[in-house]
Amino acid sequence: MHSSRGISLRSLCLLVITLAMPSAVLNSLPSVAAKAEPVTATKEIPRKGFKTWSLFLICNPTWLTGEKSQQIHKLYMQFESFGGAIGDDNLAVWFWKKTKNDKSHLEENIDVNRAARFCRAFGLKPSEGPHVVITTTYPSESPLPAGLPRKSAVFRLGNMSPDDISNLLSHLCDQLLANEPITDKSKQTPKTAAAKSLTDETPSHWVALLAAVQKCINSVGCAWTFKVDAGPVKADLHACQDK
Amino acid sequence: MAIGKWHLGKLIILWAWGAALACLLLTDFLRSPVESSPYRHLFEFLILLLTLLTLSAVTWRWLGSKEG
Repeated sequence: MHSSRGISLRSLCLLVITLAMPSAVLNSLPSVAAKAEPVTATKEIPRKGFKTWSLFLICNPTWLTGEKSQQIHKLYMQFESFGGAIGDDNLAVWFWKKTKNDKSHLEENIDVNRAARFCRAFGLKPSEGPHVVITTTYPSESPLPAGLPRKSAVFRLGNMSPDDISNLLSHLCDQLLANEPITDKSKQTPKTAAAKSLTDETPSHWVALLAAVQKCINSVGCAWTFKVDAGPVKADLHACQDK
Repeated sequence: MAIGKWHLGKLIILWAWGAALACLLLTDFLRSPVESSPYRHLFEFLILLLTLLTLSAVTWRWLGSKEG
């Protein structure tokens, strides 16, 4: 009887410990889940433990007006979700001036100067922004890189609708999680949106060769004009039209 | 049929058709950037080359034969 009560007490204790342990352990561990990292003016971009960095750069001054407040808020929410979904190895970075819990007037808290430094270093046009730059090289700020890192992709969101941005971010998320080379696979992204990755901009060798042949033929073809003057019939053929 | 007996006029007709085809292909090849449809441009360029090479080969082979 005593022994059975002992067993049952022990079982109860074990049960309580078993139930309580996971939450206790989980609560005591540091949060390792990837998220959109709000990097404030004085904070360095986290380096260790990440394979890719997705920088959200707003260098376009028109995005900082009060009218865009709602769009910025939506964009930040999308980017935050993207940051949470891309896994532990990938970091999404958004530059803030200071830590702020209040989500109103986000545009006032965007660290434009810091983003502009990156835009300048990467050679990005502010008017085409905001930009998402995904790179496998740590985006060091001292010194800033001269040009885009080799394995990187740029997405220009300036002319994209919120739906297009959402589609783009979900495709990027898929690619980052699958460790695929980053390209714009989003079929719904309009061409006018100018959402093009660097890999898209670099055609394969044979296409480049064919384009060179075309250019060569064009330049040779533009060098001549053909004139026919046979009395009443006069023709003047130009190989190329004047631009 | 011995092509070697072809008349020069027939070769001119042959080249006229070939040149027309080549011009059409070349025009279409040059009309739009290669990047817009690379495979179509490649196809056009290859057919263009093939046409001119075939006609050159026919002319070389059988026009010479005529003189010989």
